[in-house]
Amino acid sequence: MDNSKKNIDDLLEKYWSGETSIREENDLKTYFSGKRVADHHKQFAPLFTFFSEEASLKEIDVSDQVMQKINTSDRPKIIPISNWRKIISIAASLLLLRRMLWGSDVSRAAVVDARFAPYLVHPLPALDMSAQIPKKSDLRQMEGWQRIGVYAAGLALDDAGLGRGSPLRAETDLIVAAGSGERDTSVDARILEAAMQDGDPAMLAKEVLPAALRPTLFLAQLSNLLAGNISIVHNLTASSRTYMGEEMAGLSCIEDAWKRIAAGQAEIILAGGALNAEREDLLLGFELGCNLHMQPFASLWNRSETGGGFVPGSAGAFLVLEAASHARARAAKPYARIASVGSDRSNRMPLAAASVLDGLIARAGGGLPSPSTLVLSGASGVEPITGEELGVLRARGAVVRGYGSVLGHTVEAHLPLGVALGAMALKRGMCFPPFDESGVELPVEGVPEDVLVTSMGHWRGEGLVRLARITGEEAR
Amino acid sequence: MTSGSGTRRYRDAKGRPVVVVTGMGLVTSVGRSVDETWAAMRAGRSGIRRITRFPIDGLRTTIAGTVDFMGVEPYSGPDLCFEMARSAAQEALDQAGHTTGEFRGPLYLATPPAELEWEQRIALRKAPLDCSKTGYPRLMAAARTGHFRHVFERYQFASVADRLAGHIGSRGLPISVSTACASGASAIQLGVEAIRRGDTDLAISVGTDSSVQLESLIRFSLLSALSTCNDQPEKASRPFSKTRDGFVMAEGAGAVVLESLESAMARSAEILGVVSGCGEKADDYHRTRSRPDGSAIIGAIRNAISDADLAPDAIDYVNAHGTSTPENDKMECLSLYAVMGERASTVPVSSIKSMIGHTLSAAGAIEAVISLLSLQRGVLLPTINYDEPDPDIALDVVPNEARSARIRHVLSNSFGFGGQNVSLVLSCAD
Repeated sequence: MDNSKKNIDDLLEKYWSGETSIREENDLKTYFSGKRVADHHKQFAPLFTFFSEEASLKEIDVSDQVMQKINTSDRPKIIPISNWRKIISIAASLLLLRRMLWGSDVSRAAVVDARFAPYLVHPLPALDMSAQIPKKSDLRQMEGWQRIGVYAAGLALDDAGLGRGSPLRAETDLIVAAGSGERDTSVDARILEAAMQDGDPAMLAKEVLPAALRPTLFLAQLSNLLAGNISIVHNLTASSRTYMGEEMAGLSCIEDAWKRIAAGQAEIILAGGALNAEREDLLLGFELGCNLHMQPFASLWNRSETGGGFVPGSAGAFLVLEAASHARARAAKPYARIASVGSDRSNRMPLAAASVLDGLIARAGGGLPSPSTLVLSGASGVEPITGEELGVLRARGAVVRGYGSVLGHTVEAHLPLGVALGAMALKRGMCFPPFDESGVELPVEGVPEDVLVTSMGHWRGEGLVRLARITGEEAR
Repeated sequence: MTSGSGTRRYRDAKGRPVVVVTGMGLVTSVGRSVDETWAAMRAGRSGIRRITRFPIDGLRTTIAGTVDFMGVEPYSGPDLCFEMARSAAQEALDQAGHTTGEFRGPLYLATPPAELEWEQRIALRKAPLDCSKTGYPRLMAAARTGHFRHVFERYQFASVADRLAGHIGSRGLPISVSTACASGASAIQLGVEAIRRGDTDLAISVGTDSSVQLESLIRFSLLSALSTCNDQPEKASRPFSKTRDGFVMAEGAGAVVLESLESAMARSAEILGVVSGCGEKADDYHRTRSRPDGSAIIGAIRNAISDADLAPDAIDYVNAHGTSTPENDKMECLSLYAVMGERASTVPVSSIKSMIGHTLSAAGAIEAVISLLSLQRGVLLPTINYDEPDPDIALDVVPNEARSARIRHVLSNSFGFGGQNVSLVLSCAD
């Protein structure tokens, strides 16, 4: 490496801007642990020397690491799942128009990964991230959840006819549903072991954390930086908002978009979210509340007998939502119409959420669900809420598909994902085959006229989106 | 204002319901209410002090504007966030004459992302387990025991909003929004939009932030964003001055009750001010820096002024984002000149961050409250620590001492890390 003062100054500048690769940070570590540290650099030495003896950070680029993870192909296929597959470009609309896409092959539905035993995850399939994120420097500055989201956002924009260079991108508002990014769990583990050995709490502040935390990782952790990265990579420069709050984030995101467009406060919005389920820190966060399903795998409606819980799934789901008039003017083809979005917060006393859901369905329109209504349930599998939801849907005689059985529970991205699936079903004029063999989901023939997508948060928040098929008249 | 002039006055020039403020609440490092905070700021007092919450040995920055008087012991980020938000919301609801526990409108909350803290990780690591696992598998095994459910409920991203919604009795889904340092202004914008749409005739918008914990401090420190003026904490935040060297992390909460003018008049509520314009603009330049031509910041300011149906000449005071970082203050000045032309040299511009530091997610809400108070009370708060002007920033920063002035329209700026910029225009009630 080039140890000149200028080069180190440049590297430090890059480091503090959160732009260094692990390799460059290792160069800094090597420099600072050597004997020829320039005087004006000495103040920074503690940042780079604490873990130097452990050769802790491997000599690989973060992006390579993630790619390796993504490319691992020998996963057990647990549920054989049928026909619809490939990257499916979908979208929908009318009153609002919408288009969407999610970045995955639905055949991954079949895939459950036991890397985090006793927990299971639905992993992301192999993707060439550079197809949507061409710059290596952009890829390097993102962690998995951000790459997934930026990738899916790009697919949605392309599918809606807003390809790279489209002037409409500068006018497209952005709404993201997000949690936050991944921690470096190996660093956390080392810090914890160090803390166990040295009871002095001052040690964390003085030596451990400054050396262990990387600016780049900080930028990958902030909730609003998925939106920030989408703006940077896809040149979206109108407004940008991020909603948080687990499943409620996805619900707030879709509801805000729908209301603004319906009221004329916006014309075209990119809305969605992303989850990287393949993270120990994320699994820990949900397991603190004992929310995860453990091996062996069971589909959603079969899960309550073995304790319930959710199997997290990696996913990115973005939709382009658009005023019908705006879409018509640019000759964009809608996937479906969003007829209504409803949401509420119950206190989760027994059956409180069920009563809220029942009210939301009643408010979405008379006679729902009709025989031609498909209900896409966003149930997580966590009990008792999943059982309460199923009770309401069965009492109303709904045709139900719980998409979490095949795609996993995708938390913030889950409602956008369900809306995307619903839009696809309406566009194709067919219901999905059953996702589950418990007998709850029966095969049906016929063209769906409506889709209800439910969003019952595993902890809080209740919501319902109603999608309607575009009629011949609307399509003109 | 009288109701005798008919319904037309309930609508703005664009035909939308006029949105007014009928209640305000504050918690800052200089006071636990609107009046305490105002009195301290009017006197130019700083709330920046040495951190006592955790060991600071060896840290590059050892000062912050912490809020240590809310009775949250031991410190926990979400608990302090909630307590400050609850206090500010309560004050705002009381002033507006709404009953806490039965608020008829939605809640929009600007709050920092939730994240487990080291105390919890260490507690999980120390939990007695009959296994030799280490690292996260061990923490997960401890979580499986079910003994940490209370931690789960505290550290969900929805937690603070959910608790606050339960406390004030707000309607519908409580909304948690993040646009980084612009979050507080975004929360207000969401409330304004809902009222303008006619979804509701009242809403409460709250911004809260309790981020002064070890890891967050070190993260910002690693980005070289923080002032290292540790020897004189009260002098560390020096917006617009030549020697400024970074922002000072701080805590606090701000709350406003928003109401349609029609609803406020119907119940004879005192009208404290009008939120006349909201503007947003995203930057696609860089994760930590704004586009060098300032276009995104300029866009947000212009959008807010145009949303208020005003010309730039109508703005007679600016409550600046003014973080005291070399980059922000320079860009903000450039942007004000781009929007207001040479008039920017004479329009007063205050940064209250000089006194209470940067309250991050809460800043936009706190600064909106302060802007409304300036409109109401005819006093511009000072930018303190302005001892050495930056020759490249030719602004009237209301240096060091408060000033009396009658103003009609205030521009309040909030520019977020990650490129999310929001500006509000707040106007006097009559």
